[in-house]
Amino acid sequence: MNKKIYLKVYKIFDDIFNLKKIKLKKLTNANDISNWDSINNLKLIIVLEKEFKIRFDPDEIVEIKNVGELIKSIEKKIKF
Amino acid sequence: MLFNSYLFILVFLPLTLFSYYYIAPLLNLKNIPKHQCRLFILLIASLIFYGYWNPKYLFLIGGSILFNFFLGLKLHSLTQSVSKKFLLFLGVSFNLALLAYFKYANFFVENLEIFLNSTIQWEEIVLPIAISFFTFQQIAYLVDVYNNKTKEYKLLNYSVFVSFFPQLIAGPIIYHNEVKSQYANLHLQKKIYNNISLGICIFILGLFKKVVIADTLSDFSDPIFLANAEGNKLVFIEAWIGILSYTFQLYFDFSGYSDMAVGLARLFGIRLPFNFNSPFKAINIIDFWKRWHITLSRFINDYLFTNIAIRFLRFSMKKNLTNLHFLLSIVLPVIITFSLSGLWHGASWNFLLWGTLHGFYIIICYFWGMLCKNIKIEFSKNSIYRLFSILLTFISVTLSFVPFRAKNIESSVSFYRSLIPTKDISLPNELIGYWQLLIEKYLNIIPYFNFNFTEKYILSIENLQNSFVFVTISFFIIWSFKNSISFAQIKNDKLIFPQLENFKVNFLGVYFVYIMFFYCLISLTNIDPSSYLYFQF
Repeated sequence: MNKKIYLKVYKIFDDIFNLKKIKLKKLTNANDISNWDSINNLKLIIVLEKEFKIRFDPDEIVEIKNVGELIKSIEKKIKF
Repeated sequence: MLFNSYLFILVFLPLTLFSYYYIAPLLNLKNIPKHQCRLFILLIASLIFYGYWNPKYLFLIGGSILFNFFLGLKLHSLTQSVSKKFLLFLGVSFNLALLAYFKYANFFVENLEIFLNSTIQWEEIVLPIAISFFTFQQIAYLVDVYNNKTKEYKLLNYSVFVSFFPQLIAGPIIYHNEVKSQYANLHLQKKIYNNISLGICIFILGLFKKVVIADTLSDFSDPIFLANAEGNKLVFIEAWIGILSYTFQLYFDFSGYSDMAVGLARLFGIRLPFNFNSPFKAINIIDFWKRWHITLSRFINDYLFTNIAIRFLRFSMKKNLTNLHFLLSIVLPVIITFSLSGLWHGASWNFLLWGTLHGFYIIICYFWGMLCKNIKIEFSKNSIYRLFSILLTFISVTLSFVPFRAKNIESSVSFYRSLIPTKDISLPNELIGYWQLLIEKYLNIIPYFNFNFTEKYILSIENLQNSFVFVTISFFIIWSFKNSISFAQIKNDKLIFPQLENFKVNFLGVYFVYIMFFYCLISLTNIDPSSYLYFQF
């Protein structure tokens, strides 16, 4: 995982979900963060899109199941 | 054929299991791979299972499978995006049109008649069982093929994916790439006895939920809702007994069915996702939908909500509509999604009302969460707040099931009226004498209310007592027991797809399951097996 991207993602997660003691690991998913629901997920996507200047398709959004996959797909998008 | 019938449990299932494990390997003669023989057995069994209701609908499901399979093949081979998009549009429209014809045509004509104020010559269409479920599953498949997430070259594998009898009639709604490698590798299965013992346990647990708990609760809810449908006014206590019994009945019926599906599939070594995760332990309505009918929620989220909401969201950001932002990005997509989900459950204004109600619940819940975040109050740590939120969620859900069950909007409204307490609370007049003194002594301590013994109740006094007992037991089971997923001792990330490699039942567990099973078998005698509530959807 790219450290720079991870830190940015962490900050955005903290803003939206109020992480407190929850650690953000690769396998952290919607069941670990209590208010990570469908609506907040879209909010998260929109903020990430702005931050990294990328764009997700709807089918990519539903494909992402945890933090690791999210960061991977951001990395992929930035590269291209 | 119903899971809770002698024919299924004592004839169909043993024969299918025997053929699957013992006859399929014998068929392995002419270079046919072993797993194909097993798949073939599953397909034949599934077609018998479905055809038992009405053989003529085999053409319907067969046609639907063939159409979608070949469309999927074509879709996969295309690269040009315009024709690919058109093909996907064609495929999804075909599936929706089929569903619309069988499910919504009656409703449409009925309302057209009211609108035009005249009668139309129309023969009512019978809803073929399972159509709502296999339509959704195949739409998901086509979209996934379009997005290059999955593909299938073998008609046999695809047919089993759609028609596999444990999940055919009422879900769980599975995605193709969740099971495709399972079907392709049936011959490599390990730990067969482990799978069988786990499958039996989960199946019997589900059977018990259905036969013993749900069917008993229906003895209390059915007469009350029948009286409501006939236009009788219900008294306060009886209305609450009716709706509480129905809520628990629906839960035990459908979660029992889903458990049976998961258990049956496991007997053949197939892992299906769980559909329920103690929904009544939810702390808010969003949490509830993560736990109730999980596979429908995720289908709706993945294929409907995300698509609608992201478009609305982008639109409102592009046009800089700050004032309308909330309306566009949250309220509208949620309401649209939930109304459609309501309509999927059935073609009537009642289901639309039910869905929309849940949409509003979600929005209220979402704004409450935002409010708490903005004023920096954290309630969730407080255990009294937690208990209160679980109760509030439970009551909101219970109230939403009134239109889910009532005959039409008018009966729903009259049911709601009965649920509101008035100053005079009437108790059944059969209680005069026996309980009278006790009640007058203790109940009348409660301020404001007047208790009297005037009313004739719909339920007999015996059933009334039983309903109290069963509703209390249901509360107890729901809030204090672990659920069937807990067999699987799993971590959060595998929540609906438990791995469970080393399942062992202890002696006590075996006896307990045996007792449950025999109790179910005895309960089945002499009555026609009751249908499942979700079959009508």
